[in-house]
Amino acid sequence: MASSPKSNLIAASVCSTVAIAFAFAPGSLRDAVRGSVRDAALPGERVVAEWADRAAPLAVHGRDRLIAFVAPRATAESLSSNNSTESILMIESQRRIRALEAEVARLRDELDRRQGDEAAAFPARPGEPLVVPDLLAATVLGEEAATLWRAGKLLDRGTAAGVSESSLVLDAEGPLVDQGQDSGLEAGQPVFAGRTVLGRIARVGHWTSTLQLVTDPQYRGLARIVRRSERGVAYGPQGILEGDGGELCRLKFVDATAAVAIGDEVYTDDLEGLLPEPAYYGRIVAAELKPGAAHWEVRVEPAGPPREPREVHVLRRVANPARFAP
Amino acid sequence: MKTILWLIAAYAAFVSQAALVPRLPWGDFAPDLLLVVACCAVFANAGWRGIAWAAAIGLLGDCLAAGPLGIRMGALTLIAAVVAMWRDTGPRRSPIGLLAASYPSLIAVLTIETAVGAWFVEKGIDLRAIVEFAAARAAGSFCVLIAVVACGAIVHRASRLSPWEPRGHSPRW
Repeated sequence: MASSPKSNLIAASVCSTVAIAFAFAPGSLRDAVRGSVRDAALPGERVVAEWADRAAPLAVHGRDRLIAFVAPRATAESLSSNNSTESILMIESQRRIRALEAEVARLRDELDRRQGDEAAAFPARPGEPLVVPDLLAATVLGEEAATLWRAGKLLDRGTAAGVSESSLVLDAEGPLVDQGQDSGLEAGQPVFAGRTVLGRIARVGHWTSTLQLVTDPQYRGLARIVRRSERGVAYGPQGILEGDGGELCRLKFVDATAAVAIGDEVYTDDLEGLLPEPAYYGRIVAAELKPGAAHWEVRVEPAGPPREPREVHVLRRVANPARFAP
Repeated sequence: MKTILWLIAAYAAFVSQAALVPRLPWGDFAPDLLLVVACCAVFANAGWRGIAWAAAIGLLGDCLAAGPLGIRMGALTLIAAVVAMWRDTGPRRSPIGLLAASYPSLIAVLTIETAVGAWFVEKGIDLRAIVEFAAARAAGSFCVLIAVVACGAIVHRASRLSPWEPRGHSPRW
């Protein structure tokens, strides 16, 4: 068929009609088409992923050489995005410093309490707690695996066998982790990446759950500012951290009488002492006190992991087995 | 033969888009390799063939996205038809002009796709944010497109050179 305006028009009309038909096609047909195409591409994706994994160390090495050539005095921020040994060590040392700061603040708070009226008259023997923390490692499903899971491609035995995943999880859009009700997960349990708060469990299915990140507008969590004063690192005011749907979080209800500064660190304050030290939320990047306002307007940059996490930890509360031992 | 080459190119772009692009630190400028192949297909195939290739590659792109099928296919069909009519009905267009026209075309496809996708999932449409997002992704895709076109031009030029022929020698006897 020769190329002419008429043939162009016919081709465009046919293709547009097919596109509209696909857009309004039933979900089963769409899933079948999408599943077939992705199945056909799977071998190639595996090969490319394997090559990419093999080439990753070379690429990182090359990038480090390039950064060293272009910017010999790279800042700590730029280094933290690298995957090289130096940057990994720097990230680890930053985590360690944050953990030590939180520990210092906790000890100072405890010292203040012991020096006050809360100090016991006689030495007390610590009792076994009834509830103890239990961190469950969970793997974050990649985009491909999550798509296949939500499309029902990984679990195809159907609802009749009673093995279908909850539609609450399948219809949600957040990241998926590979643990669900069968592992004792419940909505609201906090999720960590190392010592950093990543978010919490939003919806729990039979085998998978969705994550609600700290930047999600629905996220709320008690937080406490840890600031550096003349006395060293100390606990600051309490507030409620909530996501703003973008890249930052808001720290609300911080009293106008409290001292807040840009650069102060924000930690959790709601874990009822379950963890030995508070978990890290992020750093204050903006703080404004409007005239006559009762509270500060504080913006927090969540730390999060430097790359998308593959493994996260979910904090569960379990009964202390030591209390039930015969 | 040409059809098989385009099929291989589309498959390679699909696979790389799914497995390679998310691993690289592109940020907002992550290229869309399927769009790059679609642009090349429209450049290389005049008339209805270009439109058909654009639609087929658009359908592949829809399979990779999470939204309903047919959105990218429709958008690419529309843009490819406009480009084909602009190219085929007027005076002969230069390749540079076609290449320059591909950047707004990429922005248009990505904007339509994102806006219709947002409308389908009822998230509300912030057109400015969508255009900014589309412009960033189109910039990344355009850079890859220029690299691909440059490589193609070099290979094409090299293939047109006269092949090397060994100098003949006369027998001694």
